[in-house]
Amino acid sequence: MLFNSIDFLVFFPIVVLIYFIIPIKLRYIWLLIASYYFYMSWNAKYVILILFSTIVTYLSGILIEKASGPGQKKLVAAASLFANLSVLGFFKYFDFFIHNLNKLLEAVHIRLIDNPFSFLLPVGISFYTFQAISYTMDVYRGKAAPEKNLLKYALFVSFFPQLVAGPIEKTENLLTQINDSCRKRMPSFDQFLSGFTLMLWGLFMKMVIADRISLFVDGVFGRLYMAGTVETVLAAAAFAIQIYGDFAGYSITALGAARIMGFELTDNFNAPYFSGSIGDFWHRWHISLSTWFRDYLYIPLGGSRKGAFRKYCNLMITFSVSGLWHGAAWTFVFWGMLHGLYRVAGDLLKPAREKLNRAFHVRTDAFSYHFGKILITFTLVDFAWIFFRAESMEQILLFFNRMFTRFNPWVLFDESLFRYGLDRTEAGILMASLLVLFAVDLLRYLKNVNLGDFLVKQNLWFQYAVLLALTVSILVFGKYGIDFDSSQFIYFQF
Amino acid sequence: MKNTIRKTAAVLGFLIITAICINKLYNVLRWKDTTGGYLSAIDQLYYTDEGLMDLVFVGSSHCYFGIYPELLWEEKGIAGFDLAVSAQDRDSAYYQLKELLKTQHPRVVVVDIYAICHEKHMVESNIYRNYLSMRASLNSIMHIISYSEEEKQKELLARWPIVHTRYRELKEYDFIPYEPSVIGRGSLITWDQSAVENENGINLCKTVQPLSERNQKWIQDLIALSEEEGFELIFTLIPWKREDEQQAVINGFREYSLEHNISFVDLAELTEEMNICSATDWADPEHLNARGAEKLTRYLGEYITAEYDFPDRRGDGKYHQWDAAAERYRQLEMLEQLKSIDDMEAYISLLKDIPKITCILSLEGDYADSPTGIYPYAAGFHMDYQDYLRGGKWLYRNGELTKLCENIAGSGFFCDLNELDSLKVCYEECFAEENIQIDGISYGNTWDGFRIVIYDDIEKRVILTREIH
Repeated sequence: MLFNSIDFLVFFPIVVLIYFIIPIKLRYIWLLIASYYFYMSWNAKYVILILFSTIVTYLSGILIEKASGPGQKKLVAAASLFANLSVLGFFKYFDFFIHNLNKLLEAVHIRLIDNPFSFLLPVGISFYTFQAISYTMDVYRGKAAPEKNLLKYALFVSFFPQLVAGPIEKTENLLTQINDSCRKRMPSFDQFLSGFTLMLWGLFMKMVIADRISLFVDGVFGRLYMAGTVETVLAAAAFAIQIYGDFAGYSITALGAARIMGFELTDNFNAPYFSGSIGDFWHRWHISLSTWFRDYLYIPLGGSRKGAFRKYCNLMITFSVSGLWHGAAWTFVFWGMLHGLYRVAGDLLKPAREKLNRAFHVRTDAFSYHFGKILITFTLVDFAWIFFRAESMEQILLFFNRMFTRFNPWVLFDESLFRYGLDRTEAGILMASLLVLFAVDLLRYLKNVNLGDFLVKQNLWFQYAVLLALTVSILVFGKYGIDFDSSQFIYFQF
Repeated sequence: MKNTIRKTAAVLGFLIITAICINKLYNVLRWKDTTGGYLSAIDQLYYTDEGLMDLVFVGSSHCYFGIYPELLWEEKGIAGFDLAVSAQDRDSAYYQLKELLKTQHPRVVVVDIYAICHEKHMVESNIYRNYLSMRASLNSIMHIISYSEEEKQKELLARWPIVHTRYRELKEYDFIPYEPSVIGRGSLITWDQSAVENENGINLCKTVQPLSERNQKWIQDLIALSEEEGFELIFTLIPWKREDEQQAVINGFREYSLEHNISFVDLAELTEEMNICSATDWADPEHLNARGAEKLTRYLGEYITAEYDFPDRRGDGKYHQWDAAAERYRQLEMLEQLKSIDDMEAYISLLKDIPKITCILSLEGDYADSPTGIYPYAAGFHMDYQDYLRGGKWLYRNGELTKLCENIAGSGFFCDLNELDSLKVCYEECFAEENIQIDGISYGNTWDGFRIVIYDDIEKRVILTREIH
């Protein structure tokens, strides 16, 4: 059940309505039922996996509390970690492992191994597994008390707005709120309004922007043989917008849906393309995952506490694993490693940059300096996205071949860009939508406020106008329905 | 408390405004075609006042190509209507008829049973024509639910997932009513001609395929509906080029109709009696053209009136749409004749009789010295000789000639022909593109002489031009 489906349009109001009608003490049970129904609407069989993860981490929490010493605690935490990562590894990386093993065997002329398993990747497995792991780790570190109520804990793992594509919530945030939901009554009117606005804005980003621009991206990547420098550069930039609209769109819709029911989820994006450095980018992009990797991988590896060399190794390891988390393919690993390299290079070159700034009397407080940093960061991030989007290493090589060997500026003027899936009308709608996206992100960047929170402070006529414009834009210009093969949210596969 | 009331009012206000906007938007985006272009029999039904129809024909394109209610009106005063939608299937025939019966109480309903010959729609747009044209109601919901392709049901029920993409193809008639969809009586009038290979679609296959359960149920449902609503029901088949499998199904229906004493007339078997010519009376192998439709309609009219009495409604003001449809039919017929007339006097004589058109006349260049002399043609429009010599542009409408501008550089005039199109005439220089423009498109003289631009007031477009040198 996608957020942008008719099913969700029916499902969500019913869930919310019943949620507010039933006695407060039963609300979390109702949400748990709704969450499991939501998850099972994809593949009912895979409910067993989320149940397994839930029960293992729930029991590990209790056992850690009851453990007599640090050794026992460590053992329980390690067992829980191992069980969860095994399931994730098996369902997500087994194919990848066999594939690579066979390539190796092929090179040394040894008989290949048949893959005995063939299954679809369970939706959202990376997200809920990481959330469950974070609970075990928090209890182990004494940062959170173990939850005694299994149903409440099961809701923490499976809360439907963020179940399949995050944000990956921390125990102290979501589990606390689930416990509070048994005590508090209705969310405020402002919460409701801002939640509704965020849902509309998220759907706008996904359905009007991401799904529309994906036609152009797919058009270029699917027909690289006829593309040149201009098309490939534009496609790379377009993919940066597509994945942002797609993933941030999902996260913002999730944030809005949860807020309508009185829950506050982690704001996963903070105007990421206004970042002034790669480090800044990872503080603004998929914040919940960056935080997870920082807290549960980078810092345990030693972080920056053990010297520069270890720090850079830790960065490379963290970003490589992050790449692998995004997908079982080398393209994702290279994408992660590239970001790691950016970070390392950025750190190493910092003194040289500062020296150059001084030598050339660069005004580091000027708009042009910040703007330049934003442009350079976007270029670097965008370059890395090519690895993320490509289906194989061969496609990456072909993409760069077309990008660097076929300079064709005339396509900007002879309308041949309209051959790649977006005609003049669609391109016009896209441009108008991108202006809106830019305005909203600029607001976020300058005032640090999201559209929902901004709108509740405005006058009624403006609230009406924005909500109506978003509703109509989604209904009319959104990509959905029979003539559109609704693309899944990209991050569902991770 | 005051705060709660204020916020509730704000929410309600937003919901009301949103509902109004969405409703208005839906009316723009909704599916408006059951026949082709913007022509919709379902819209024509909704534009018709309650209780006016006496005779209804239900069917597919065979029906709207083959039966002209305009002719029955003109010749017999019968208030007939084609409830015909392209590739109308069984469920659509049944539920569209039920929709009609909400406001109309026909004495006789003639159902073309072509629907028994096809199970699935081969063309996507025909699904939309059949399933998205009715207004939303319990009837339309039942119609969609009864449709076999379940995976499409949700989208069809919600409608928006399908119709919202029409933003790419919006035209003027999505915003204002298309007049033929207001005055028309369900038919599609065309003189296109294409000879059919076999004799008027007759198929001699004798195989009998017993009527399927679904087909039997459909027939029985229609019979039950006729008993419930109190109308006479006749099953018919309008000729088309039939395949053997289709003929076998029809043979099965014939046997079933004999067993159950069901009134059925296969018009394909009567084409010789109707004098339908396979060389001239077909638009294509599937459909009759106006020549064939006239013959078939007259024959069917005689057949039905021999069995049932119908009041002559002509002269009753409530039936203005039938008058307008008949006038439209004659207009199209005359315009068709006009295309084949070479003699200019006869041409102008006929042109002046055609209703609902506007002519823009233009005299430019050295036409006055022509030895052949074209003044008699201009005089046909009551043009003064001195005026003729000076040249210029005229508007001829409803028998009245109005001079718009002289052939003097800088002179010009513009007016709105209707809510869509504007006419601009001027004189820049001889044969200049700007001299006659309708909605920005140039129709000016190309040579010395007299130019006639014929504009259809109903279709709201230029349909013919003629130049006399």
